[in-house]
Amino acid sequence: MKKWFGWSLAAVMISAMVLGGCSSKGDGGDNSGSTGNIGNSGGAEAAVDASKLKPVKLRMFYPCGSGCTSPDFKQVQNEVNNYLKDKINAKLELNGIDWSAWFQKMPLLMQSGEQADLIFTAGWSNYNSDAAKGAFKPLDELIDQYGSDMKAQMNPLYLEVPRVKGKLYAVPVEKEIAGVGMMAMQQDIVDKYKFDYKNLKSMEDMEPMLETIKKNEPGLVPFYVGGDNGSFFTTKEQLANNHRYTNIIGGPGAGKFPVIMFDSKDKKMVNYLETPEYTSMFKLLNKWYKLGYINRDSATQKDALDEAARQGKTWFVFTSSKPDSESDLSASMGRKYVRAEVNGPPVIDTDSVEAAMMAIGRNCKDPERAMMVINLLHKDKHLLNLLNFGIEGKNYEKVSDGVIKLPAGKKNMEEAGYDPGTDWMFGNQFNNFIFDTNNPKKWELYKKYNETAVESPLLGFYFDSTPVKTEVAAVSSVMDEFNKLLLSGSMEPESQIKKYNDKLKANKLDKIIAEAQKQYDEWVASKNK
Amino acid sequence: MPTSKAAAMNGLSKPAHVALNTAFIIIGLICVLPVVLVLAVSLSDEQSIYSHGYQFIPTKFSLAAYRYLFHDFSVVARAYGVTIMVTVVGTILNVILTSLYAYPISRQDFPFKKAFTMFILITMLFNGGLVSFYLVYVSVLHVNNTVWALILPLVTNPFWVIVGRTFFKENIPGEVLESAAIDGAGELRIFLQLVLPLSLPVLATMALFSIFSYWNDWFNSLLFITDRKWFSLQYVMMKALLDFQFIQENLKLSSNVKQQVKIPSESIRMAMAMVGMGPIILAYPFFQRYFVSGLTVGAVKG
Repeated sequence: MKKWFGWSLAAVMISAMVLGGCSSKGDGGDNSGSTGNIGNSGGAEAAVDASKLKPVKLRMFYPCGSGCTSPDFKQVQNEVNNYLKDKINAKLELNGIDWSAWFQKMPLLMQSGEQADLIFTAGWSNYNSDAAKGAFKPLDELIDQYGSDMKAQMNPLYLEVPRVKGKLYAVPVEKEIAGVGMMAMQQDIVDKYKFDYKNLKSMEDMEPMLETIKKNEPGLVPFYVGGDNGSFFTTKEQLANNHRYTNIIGGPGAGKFPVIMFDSKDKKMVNYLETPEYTSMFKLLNKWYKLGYINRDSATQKDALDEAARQGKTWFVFTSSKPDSESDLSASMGRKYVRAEVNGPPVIDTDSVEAAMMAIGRNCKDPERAMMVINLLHKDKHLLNLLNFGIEGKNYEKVSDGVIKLPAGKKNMEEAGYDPGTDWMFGNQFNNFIFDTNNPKKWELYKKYNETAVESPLLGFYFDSTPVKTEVAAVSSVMDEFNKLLLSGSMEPESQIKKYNDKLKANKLDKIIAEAQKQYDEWVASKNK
Repeated sequence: MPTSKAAAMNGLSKPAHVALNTAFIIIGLICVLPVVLVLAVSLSDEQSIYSHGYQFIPTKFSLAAYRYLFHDFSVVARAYGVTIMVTVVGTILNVILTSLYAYPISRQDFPFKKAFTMFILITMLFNGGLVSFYLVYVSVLHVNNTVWALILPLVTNPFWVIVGRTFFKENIPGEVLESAAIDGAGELRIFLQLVLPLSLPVLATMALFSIFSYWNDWFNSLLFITDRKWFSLQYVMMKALLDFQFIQENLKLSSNVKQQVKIPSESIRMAMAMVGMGPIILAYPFFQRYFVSGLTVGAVKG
């Protein structure tokens, strides 16, 4: 056994040295020249002679909704494999896991030791804890050897942020890496009452608008509250504070309310209930509830804000802002929305960088080849667009370079036969085709957006809650109990906040805060080393 | 139904009769009405549900939900086929295996009776948890992404082994077996020609419960199947509902994702429930006569 291991290790090392030599040569040379020569393919994989590589089958796992039942799914997979055969002599088995099963299936898959070569992961999909547990392979060396093209074209931040204890375990998708909340309002309403939506500075500025809606639009809820309120809160918090606070527990993925926040002014972890901003917000909500701006069933209503907006019950939504996102929103809602610009520049934080990544599984059969695939996804336009949009002439038609349209007579991608919904999940989004209905400058706008973004003071910091697991569980159940009531506006805030806070403290919130502060201080110290 | 004469002799008094009948009518309605409501909502127009709520008689009639469900007809039809196949094959295997286990341990003269009973009891009371469950099927048996992943996990149930054992023990008199043995019948012949025909009630009960568990199973699809061709009906239904809900609740992701997942509306949810019910609602009446005869067997003996 040991002998066998030694030999294979030696073999791997030798081949790594040979291949590494090739790719570093390509890297050392004029990179732009080499990519130019081979059209849309990259440099390093061209240095890899596909015929000398043993055929290998890689299994790729990613979440995929109903799109993975597309009739042409198998056909696209075959096409991908034909293409990859010439490039790196690998076969890709595409396993789209249903969204609802993702969090149940993936941990089992990783624990069972099943072969999983390429695994989609993200900050919201337990990347940090999975990586810390050893579910993924460290990637630094692999990237140097087989991912040099990718590394060269990337903003270095991508490969700095998702580090766990100093090691990189996943490669983020190149896309918009900053995030900020935004409010969008229905255009017909805004026009009708001439709302000054562009100069909205805070929540309070909405009051006259809400008053007008209440008076004149009996069919609309002026300020709708329902569902888990998550999107509403992240946005509100940013609205008032212009990024002063960052959520530590209950980030955007968890759909939960923040409990501990980082105050970037004092560089301290704080209990959100003790920030004046939140107290005043709860008071405002209560006032609005009393004035009848908020729907009466806000505490029990299950439909979230965007669902209510889709049904025509209210006139604005909170959403995450991206360039041109009001037009995406209008398309999905079926009516026109305008952007009510509410806060400062977008912020690059750990969550926004880690929103979509690709990792290599711990028991991957052939990590070298898996890294070549990741490299190709970032570099190779043909492969990426094949995965995302299917086969040309069948699932889409080309309009011009990089611009496509639906085949004649088809209303959407689903009708056209291939609709995996993965165009934000892999490789380099800037290589994606855009539809003729999109803004033709979409990717330029995204790039500009990334450039204007500011880095969060917590960029790269990840709070590991394992040392205070029991406390977090206890605190979460207290949160569930109180948040809904306070957020609904139907409760008297003064007394409730005090009660809530006492209960949080009784469940050792302070211990969590101390732990977060300790981890933060250690993180700062390690960064300054 | 008692004849009128019998009713007059030892029947109930009229008020009691009325009261009992009313009670049964109410219970009957409680069982039937929700199904009727689900059917009615599934046939309602989406907008009218939002404006009027659930109604027994739809304000506006619409087949849109069924059209939506069946425009992906191949997916639903395929899932239906898988579920029916799994249910039939699984139930047959289930009855065979369960009775084959239960019968020997019901026999007093079987030497390892205690050991085998303990063995099955332990699996009933304790389990190894999800990860080991998953590992057995994936890494030991390698049945993931095959139809066996849907059949094997439910193929015997220790509880029904115990029930079967008790039934064989109580209802098949040892003398019958002995006389058959004296007449020269082997163990297999005794089992097939004597024990099984006498045990129809318990076999029917096992079969019915096995049908239900196979028909309603979605969990094994969730765990073991990534290849869409083996998705069971209930899983297809469930995932259509949950995918969207999941994204709504868990991910504050780019609006991209939300657009990708189709939103099942109220009427579609109800239509799914109707389709999912399918032929299974007919199973119970069919098996019911065995329950009745099962009771009779007990009563005559007593």
